[in-house]
This record gives sequence, structure tokens and C-alpha cells, in this order.
Amino acid sequence: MVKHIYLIGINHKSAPVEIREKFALNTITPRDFIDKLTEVDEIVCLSTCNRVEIIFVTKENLNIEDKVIDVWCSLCKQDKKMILPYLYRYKDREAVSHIFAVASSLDSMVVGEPQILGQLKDAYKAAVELKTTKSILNRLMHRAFSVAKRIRTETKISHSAVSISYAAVELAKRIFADLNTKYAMLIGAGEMAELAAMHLKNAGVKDIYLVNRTLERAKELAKRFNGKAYPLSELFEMLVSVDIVISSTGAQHTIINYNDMKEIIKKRKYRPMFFIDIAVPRDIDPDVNNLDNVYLYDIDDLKDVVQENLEKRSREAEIARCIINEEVEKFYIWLKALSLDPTIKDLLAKMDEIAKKEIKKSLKNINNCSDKEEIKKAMEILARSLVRKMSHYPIMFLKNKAKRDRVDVREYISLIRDIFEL
Amino acid sequence: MIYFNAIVVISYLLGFILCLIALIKNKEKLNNVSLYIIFLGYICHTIVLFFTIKNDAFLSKGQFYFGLAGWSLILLFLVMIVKIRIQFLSIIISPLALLFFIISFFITKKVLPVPKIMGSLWFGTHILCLFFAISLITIGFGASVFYLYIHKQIKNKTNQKFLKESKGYSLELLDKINHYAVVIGFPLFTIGVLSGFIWARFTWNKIFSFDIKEVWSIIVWILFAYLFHQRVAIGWKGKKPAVLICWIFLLSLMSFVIINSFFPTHHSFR
Repeated sequence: MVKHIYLIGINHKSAPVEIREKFALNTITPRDFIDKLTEVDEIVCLSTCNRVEIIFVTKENLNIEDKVIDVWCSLCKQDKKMILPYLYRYKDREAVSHIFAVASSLDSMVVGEPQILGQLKDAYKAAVELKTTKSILNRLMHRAFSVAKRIRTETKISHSAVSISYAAVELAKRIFADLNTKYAMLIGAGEMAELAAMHLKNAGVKDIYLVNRTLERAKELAKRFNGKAYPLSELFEMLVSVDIVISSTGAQHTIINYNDMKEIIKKRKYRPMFFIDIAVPRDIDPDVNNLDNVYLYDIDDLKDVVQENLEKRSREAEIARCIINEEVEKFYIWLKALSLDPTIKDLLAKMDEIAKKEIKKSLKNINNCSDKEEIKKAMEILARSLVRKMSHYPIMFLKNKAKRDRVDVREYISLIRDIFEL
Repeated sequence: MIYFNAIVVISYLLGFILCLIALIKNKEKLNNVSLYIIFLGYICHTIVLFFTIKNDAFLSKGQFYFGLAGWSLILLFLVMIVKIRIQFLSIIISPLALLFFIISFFITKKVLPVPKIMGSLWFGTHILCLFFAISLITIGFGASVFYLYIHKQIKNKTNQKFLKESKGYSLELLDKINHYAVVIGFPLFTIGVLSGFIWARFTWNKIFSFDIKEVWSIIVWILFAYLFHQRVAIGWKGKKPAVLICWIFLLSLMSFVIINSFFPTHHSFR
């Protein structure tokens, strides 16, 4: 029976962060799903801060998607109604194409950001360890990884990762001699700020501090970066010791003013400081940039870099889409062969069985034969009975279709004529 | 001797050209090559200087001092590179050293015997400390020119193309060079000036003779002392010390080139 690939999920485009948090599969494994859903053959769960996706393989089953969603909701102890409006569902080609796009970071918030590939690899590894994947998902995942690699090398999509975070890191390198001795701080937590922090962390920043209005959220984020969380009230004390500040609060007024910074920079003994203000409206008084040894960049200052980047990206994304379509076709050719292979195998086995039976019968006759004429006769009988047995199946198939099922047999007749070249 | 002179000129020039290409084409490896070439030139420079001193009958003041200026500049530059990677600075250092070296041949042809008084310990201290201090000021000046340029680029935010080329230096590194130049250079400068006064006391029986060079040097020293104080005690970093060291460099250069050559002072090369 033909197997189908399904994909259901939510991402940063379809669902707000509150929903994604509630339905995240942090501690839930693919094993938990497959234990409750016996009809599902293979499953992989991908859960990151920007997306939660479940990819599974099963035989044709009308309600399977809803069953999986039910299990998902019950595992997360959430109401099903809450997630339904944000869900996307893909099947077969669409699902394959989607997972290829995810792996190659075409579906990411910052297109070309390669982090997702690592996360997908981890998700797959977890599934392999729990033995929830078999031939189809194994193949699909490996294809996804190599498609991602192909897109990375054949397009410039991650090449020109001149995003805000990239520019932030490059600027930081231009200001500071050695990032390994520098501390970064996030004020508030937007996704763009997190991404910039991640880039800084990768560039070798010594430590990341998180300051937020609610300490709980700061602590949560701190876990992700191995950083330390502080309440907003300690902001000004922190500013004396940190070197790079990424601010993205939802505050309506500036939270760091010129006069504050004038005092702070004196206390720092004029050690340089770099601010990236990605909040709208701005968190940091633009005049701060006029202070010596303080460098302030806001979203507008980085716009040129980002704009140029976006244009280049969309061009490259088109090329990447073509590659994905091509790869989906390749995958399906393989998938088709997968269902054909066992058929051929079974067919040959059946024929073999018939042949064995007939040979056994005629061997008895041949053993009793005394002269060549008799052997010739026995062989003739063998050949004829073989042909009759083999053609029995197509003939009975046609007759039964005509009689019992009362369907139009002409289609089948022409098929048989095609097969045997009549 | 002429060969050594030629090698010095060619290698400093080549070092400068390679460094220029390295900077424009953004090829850091060329910087290292230029450094080796400059080092070769420096060895020859040392030999030239050694023979100039040894055959003191041929010593002309101008030739010696300008030669020494270039030599100490390269020496301190090479010593500093051991600590901080500042190869790119040879774009400013090597042409200056070359300039001093070439000037040393043209400044005066008159051969003077070295007076005995010049051989004293105080005089040697006076010359060496001041030349090393001024070499450090020159290196600090070079770093500050780079600093001010990049600082302007980052502050103005207009042209962000520069972000795409990674360079081997940052504002912090350039400021560190300025720091070394001030923190080591100022004490050397002070010792140099003081030993000069002590030498004057022994030689002419008066400490201060209102010589234009002396007055000028006191002004430079006061400026330098101010910079030293602000850096060490207040913690100044970045643009202000960069600007200040540029002024100190320009005043020192004027003192060395213009005053010594054209004014009637007992420091005169004539």
C-alpha cells in the first residue's frame, strides 16, 4: 500500500510567540507520539523558538492529521481550538518541498541564517536514537541536509548574511580588539536581538547578560545563551561593566539618555561602548552617539546594509526554489521506485513458487521415463502447465472484474494487451 | 658603504609600497612581507650608523641625527610589533624613516670633529631618550591617524561598505598603541629633557638659556605631561588623546626639522 508523507506545524509567520511557546515540544519526544499513534510508521519532531513541526509517514488515512494534532495537544496539555487557526498542513510533495525549504533556511525569519540546519539535524538525531524513523524519513532527512548544502554552495543565500546581526558583529570587531574579553547585554528580548546576541556569542563574546522588565523572561532567555539574568532596575550598574548593548524593549520613551551615559562613560574610564538599538520607538537617545568612545547604531543606520541584503536575498531565494523543485522531483522518483521494488520482488517470488511446484511434479514423471521421446513429452507438459498457471492470474483477474465487480473491463483489457504486447 | 645606503633606501621604499598595496587590496600577508624587507633595511641602516659613529672624523651633525631619527623610529616600531600586531603602520613609519635617512645626506656636507663634551653620559642619555620618545610619538601619531579615520567612518554611519572588508586593526588596538606611546614615551621624554639640562649645567654652567629649541621643548613637554596625566589618571581613551598626540608629533617634527635647521640655536645642525 502506498505511504504518504505528512507535515503539520506552526512557525514564526503563522503563529505568535505565545502560541509557539505553549505548543513547543521541549521535553516531548517523537517516541511519545508513536506510542499513542500505532498507525504512524515514522515520525520526526522539530521544535525551535521559531517553529514547531511534526513530520510523519503513514498509510492512506483520512483522519490521521487530526489524530496527530489531538495527541500533540494532549501531550502539551493545551486546548486544540487554540492551535487550529495557526496550523499549516502539508502532504507528500508539498511536505517534502517544505522540509527542504526549512533545511535550507528559506523559511527562516532571517533567510539564509544557517542555524536551522543544525536544529533539524539534532531533531533527526533524536528521532533516530528513539528509532522512530525508517527508510522514508531517513532518506527524506538526508536529502534535506544535502539540499541545504547544495543551496548554500550554489546560491549566495547565506553568503551575504549581511543582516543586522552580521553588521553588528562586524562593527563590534571594528571597535574592539578582542571580543573574547568583552561582555554583551540584551535589554528586552525581541527575536532580532536574540539573533544578534547569538551572532555575538558565536564571534566569541565572553558572556551575555540579559536585562528585562520581567525577570522570569530574562532568566528563560539566559538559559538559551548560558547567560545571566538581571532585573531592569540594575540596568545602569550593568552599563558600567558591559561593552556591547543590544536594546529592543517595547518602551515608549528612551530608557538610556545622554546625561546618563555621560556619567557612565566616565565611570568606565572611557572604555569604548557599542550600542545597537533595534527598538521602535528607540530605547537610546540618539545624542549618545556624540559622546566620545560611545558608538550607537539604530535600525535606520543599518538599513542600507539590510536593504541591499534583502534584495540580493530575494534573487537568490528564487534560484534556491528552483533547486528545491528539482530535488523534490528526484525524491519522488526514488519514492516511486520504493513501492515498485517490492512489487517486482513479490511477483518474481510468486512465479518462482509456481515454477518450483511444476518442476517437482514433472521430475517425478521424468524419473519414470525410459527413452528420449518420453522425456520430450514430459517437458512439453511442463511448459504448457507453467504457461497455464501463469496466465491463470491475469485471466481470472479480467473475468472476475467483468462478472463480480461489474466495472468497465475495457481499461483492464487494454492494460493486459499492453503488458503482453498483444 | 654606498651599497648599504642603497639597500636601506630600496628596502624602506619597497616596504612602504608593499604596505600600501596590502592596505588598498586588503591583503594582510603582504604586510608581513613588507615587514621582513624593512627589517633587512634596518640591519643595513644599523651598519651605516655604526660606521658613521666609528669614523667620527666624518661625522656631520645633521647626517648623524637624521640617520639616528630614522633608525630609532624603525627600532621601536619593530620592538612594538613583537607585542602588538601593527604591521599596517609601516605605511606611515617606513616613509618617515626613509625621509629622515635621505635628508641625512643632504642636510650638510660640512665635516666637523666631534667635540669632547658630546661624549659624556648625560649627553648620550639626552639624545637617546629624546629620540626614542619622539619615535614613540611618531608611532602613536601613525596609529592616531588610523584611529581618527576609522572613528569618523563609524561615527558618521554614511558609508557602510567598509564593513565588508575585514581589517586587522580595531579602534581599541589603535588606542592601545597610543597608550604605549604615551605611557612609555612621556617618561623617556622627561628623562631626555632633564639630562639635557644637567648636561648644560656641566658644560655651560647654566641650566636654561632661553634658547628657542629649549623653550619649544618645554611647551611640547607640558602638552605631553597633560596628555600623560589625562590618560593615566583620568583614563582618557580614544579621540582626544589621538588628536593631542598628533599635535605633539607635529610640534616635535617642526622642532626637529625647522628649528634645528634654520634657527640660530645651540641645537643647530649648522
